[in-house]
Amino acid sequence: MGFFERLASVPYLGLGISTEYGAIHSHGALDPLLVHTQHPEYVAFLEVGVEVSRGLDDVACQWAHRGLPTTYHFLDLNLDEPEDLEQRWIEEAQAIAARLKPAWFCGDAGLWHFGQRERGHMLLLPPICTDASARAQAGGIAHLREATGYEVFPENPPGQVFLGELHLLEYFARVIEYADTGFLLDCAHLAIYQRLKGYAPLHGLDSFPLERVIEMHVAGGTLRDHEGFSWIDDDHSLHVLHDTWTIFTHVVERAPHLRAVVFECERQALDAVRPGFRRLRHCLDQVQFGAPRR
Amino acid sequence: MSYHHLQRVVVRMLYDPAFVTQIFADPATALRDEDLTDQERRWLVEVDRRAYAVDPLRRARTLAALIEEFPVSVHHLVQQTGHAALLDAFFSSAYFHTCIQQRGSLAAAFSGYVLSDDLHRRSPGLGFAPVVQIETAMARLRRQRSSPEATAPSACHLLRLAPTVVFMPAPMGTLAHYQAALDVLRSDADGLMAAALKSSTLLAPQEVQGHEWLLIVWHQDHEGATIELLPEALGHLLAATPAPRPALVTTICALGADVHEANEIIDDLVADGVLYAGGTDA
Repeated sequence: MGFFERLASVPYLGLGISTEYGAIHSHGALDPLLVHTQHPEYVAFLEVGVEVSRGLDDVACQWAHRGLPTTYHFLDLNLDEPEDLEQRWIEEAQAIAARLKPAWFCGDAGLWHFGQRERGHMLLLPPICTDASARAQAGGIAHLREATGYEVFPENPPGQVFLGELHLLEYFARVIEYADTGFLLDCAHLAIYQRLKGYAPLHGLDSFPLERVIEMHVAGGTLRDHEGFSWIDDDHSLHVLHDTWTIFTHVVERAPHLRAVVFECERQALDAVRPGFRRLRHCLDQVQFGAPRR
Repeated sequence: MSYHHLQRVVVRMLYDPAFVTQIFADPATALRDEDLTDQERRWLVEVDRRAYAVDPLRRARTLAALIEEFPVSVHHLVQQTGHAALLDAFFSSAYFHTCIQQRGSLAAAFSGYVLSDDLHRRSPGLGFAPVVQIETAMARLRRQRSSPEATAPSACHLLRLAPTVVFMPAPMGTLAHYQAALDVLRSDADGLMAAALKSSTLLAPQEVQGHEWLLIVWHQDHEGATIELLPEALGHLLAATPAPRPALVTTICALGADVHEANEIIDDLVADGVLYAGGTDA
């Protein structure tokens, strides 16, 4: 069955937030359950960042226990390395998914760790943007989808060093075409890339298959300087860059199958990020989604 | 799969400014041992070179993970050389670069670096190899999470050490020194990591005559290891593995047991998960 036929069973989730192990222990951090109770229009689902070796924290467990919607965002899988999809990891990921009951799997299609999956090996780098790499990513996506039974949506990672002959969007257009799947567009990561490469925020989006965009991320970033080299730190801080909003508002109006938007602000206090939630909510209310709401 | 080689070179550049300098000066020479195309070498230097250095804490974060696994080794290295910078230099060493390029284990590479002839030539008289070997064994066991599939012992199989244990000879007093050192570091008010980097507190291991046999056992149920000091006879027995069961029975009998007792000892070691039967190689 092709992706657009499978899409019929991909639920609409709306606006949500992300979390990862222990995030709630940051000073003043959002309490997902509390915000969900007070503002379900802001937090309808939880995107759970998962490292299999760490499992789920109490927040994720409580959320799942209440049967609330989730997505499974992997933080420990190099999709383009066949040897990384070891059976033991798949089984442990499946066990976690059995608790979360996520709507889908997603995650940055980059290098999450060098070498094998070991302590101290963690990092996140963008892929090498070549056709061979895109085909390998697609192979990993198809493998994970078949092994778990869940849809797997790759995300464009952040970074400061991008190599390869393809523009990042052309690269991911190939990945999702080869894998016959949907896409998680991280607007902040794309804004970082476009700025780094000297492109306008919307460069390349006109030829990108926006009908495959299923999820979007919006997050704050911080402009930093290293010896005169200015770069954006994807630190999920309060300040969402203008370019990120530009990308989001452009795509949200043109992505007919968009199912979910995540505001990545897990370590911020609600009052501080309320304006961002309002803006996202307003944007989503203005557009038509292509999937039935549940 | 060339893109994998290229990406690993990027990782090495992110960790090692000296490597970046070499590549920007002469990519062909600096990367002569890597399976990269001319185009891929050009991509590496078309990037603003400052982009490789935007994260000044990258080495420190990774080093912190290594110190957690090698606290006593690190402490002795810092204490005996007086140069904490030797730890940072790991990320410019051949051990680090080879590990990344060959998809190896950073813990194993760090162990190799700390035990390397080069390091010991630069700081003669270093005397902490046994504690490094203990912590290396524990790091290896931590990554060896599954038990072997047990098969019924039989005369046609070799009995060998289970992958969840490491058996090692060490100079007399090593275990007592190691455990005392670890206790001191763990009880430091500043925490294990800070304590490991302090150039104080612990005595270096003393060179002594004689040896002891150590058995390091990984316990999956609580994800931790224990270290046991073995009786001399048991050490001799485990040193004889892998071996067919009859050969081990002979070894035990030579140490003074009868055949019945020898078989009981072997059965107990199998039941305890120290030995397992499997494989036919020597």
